[in-house]
Amino acid sequence: MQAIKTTGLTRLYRNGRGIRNVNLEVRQGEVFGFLGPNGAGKTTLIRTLLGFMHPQSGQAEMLGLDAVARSREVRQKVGYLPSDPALYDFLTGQQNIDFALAVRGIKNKNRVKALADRLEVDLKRRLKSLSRGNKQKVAIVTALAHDPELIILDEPTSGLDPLVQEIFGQLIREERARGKTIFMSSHVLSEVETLCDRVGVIRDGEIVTVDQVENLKKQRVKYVTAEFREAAPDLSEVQGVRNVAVEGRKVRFTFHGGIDPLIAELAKRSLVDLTLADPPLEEVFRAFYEGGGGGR
Amino acid sequence: MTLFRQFFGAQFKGLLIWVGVAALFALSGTRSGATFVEGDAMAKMPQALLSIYGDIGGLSAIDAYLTLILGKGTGLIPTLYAVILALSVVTREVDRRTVEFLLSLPVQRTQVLLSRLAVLILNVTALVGAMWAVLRYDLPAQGYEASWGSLGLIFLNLWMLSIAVGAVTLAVSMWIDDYSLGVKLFLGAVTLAYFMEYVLRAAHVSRAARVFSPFSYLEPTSIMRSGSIATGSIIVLVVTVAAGVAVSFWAFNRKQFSA
Repeated sequence: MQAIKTTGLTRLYRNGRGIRNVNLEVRQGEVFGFLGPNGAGKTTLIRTLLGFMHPQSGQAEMLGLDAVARSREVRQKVGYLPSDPALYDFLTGQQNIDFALAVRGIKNKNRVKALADRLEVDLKRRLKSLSRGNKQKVAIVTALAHDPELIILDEPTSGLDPLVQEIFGQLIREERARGKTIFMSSHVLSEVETLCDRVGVIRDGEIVTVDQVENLKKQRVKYVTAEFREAAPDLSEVQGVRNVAVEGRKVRFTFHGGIDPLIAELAKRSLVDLTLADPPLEEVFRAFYEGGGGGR
Repeated sequence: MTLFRQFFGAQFKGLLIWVGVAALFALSGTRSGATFVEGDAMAKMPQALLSIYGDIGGLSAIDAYLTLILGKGTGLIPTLYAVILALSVVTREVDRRTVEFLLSLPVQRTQVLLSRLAVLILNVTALVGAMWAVLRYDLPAQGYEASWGSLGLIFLNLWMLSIAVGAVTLAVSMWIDDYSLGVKLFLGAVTLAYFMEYVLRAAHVSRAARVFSPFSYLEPTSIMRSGSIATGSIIVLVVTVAAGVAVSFWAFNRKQFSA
């Protein structure tokens, strides 16, 4: 049984955007990363899976249940963390969680305390008095409090400080070790690389590829700026180097693929400075799409 | 029950404020009753103004007074409250994006709407009941006896009108995702309809021609005279509630909650 299985799932907006004929399988017990530029259809797919939106065609199954016909049962087993969570701000964190647990018919709150302690969040304060990061923490506790079989995370670490991102990463790994399935969309490539087993890439509402994380890494692109002691050499012939721009002794270019050959090439010259930066995700996708991606 | 408790809790502070305001309005009405009755204000009132309220001739001074105050601002309060409540059911949740949290829980949309509709009815009942209680117990405390049965029916009529206005608001609100726009739109429309009714009456527009005026179905004078609510009004209000609720369920179950 797959944790998530969609067949020809389509939900389009009036402007033609949305998701189109999405076929996706997420295995039980894996951490699946869902990548795509803004507006590619990541959130639309998640919303369609959770029943916020009804598909126009196609089928979706979650944990072996029809996601439309048995949506309520599905949501009993799923924990959902939206990208910008909005809980009831006139209630305290604890009251929000109690409400969610009461609807689910769960009385045991041991897990709530454990999660709150891990994330160091005060559940006694009203949400309106909390910072965005703390609200996000409350939302994480709410999403995980009922020990869901499938955890759906929509850009989960936006708004979290790096320390909490680390704790959150540990939580995800622990959930995976306990056999839970995690489906997470993200803009943060490094986060997906660290946490996920497989990734799906979506573009213009269609799944472009589903592949192991390792294969995605091979498609990585870096922005490189190198300053030499003497005139900048011609690097355009070096494999993986594109978009070269020379300014005196400085040269800027994008580099695609494994970094070792580039370092070997640069080491032949006398360098003053070298900067390797992650490009915007869109650039990574462009490189990824140009490269054709891996096999499905 | 959890959904009912949650929505009731969310509305509780608002309920207390609205009940307080309504009770104060009613209290100001009972306390100014003496001036009206003892000062024989009805006899001094211009005929044109009296015609707005219908034929109050032949009613006792206190009964006539009650029809006047209930046909005035006091009667508007529960309908405005019903509008605010109806907009809180879905529109406010969408506007504040809490609907995403709510619908990610294992609930059916029908359950959500049903529980919230129950809170709407309960809270409007509490508000109308509070106003009725003030009039029913404060007037005798000042030595006035009115036609209490008819007064009860006037409040029943007011309750039905408020629920009907709430049901229509709820139905239309399914297509409005901006809470503040909804509040402006509906409070404006209800207040306008309220004053339009009196403009139409002052202009001697017939009852039949006022069929689309919601406040034409609030008839304190007629109830005070006949001791009953007109069957036609009951039918229209009940059908309006049924239609509003049916459309609300239909639209809510089909509503797409996009980002």
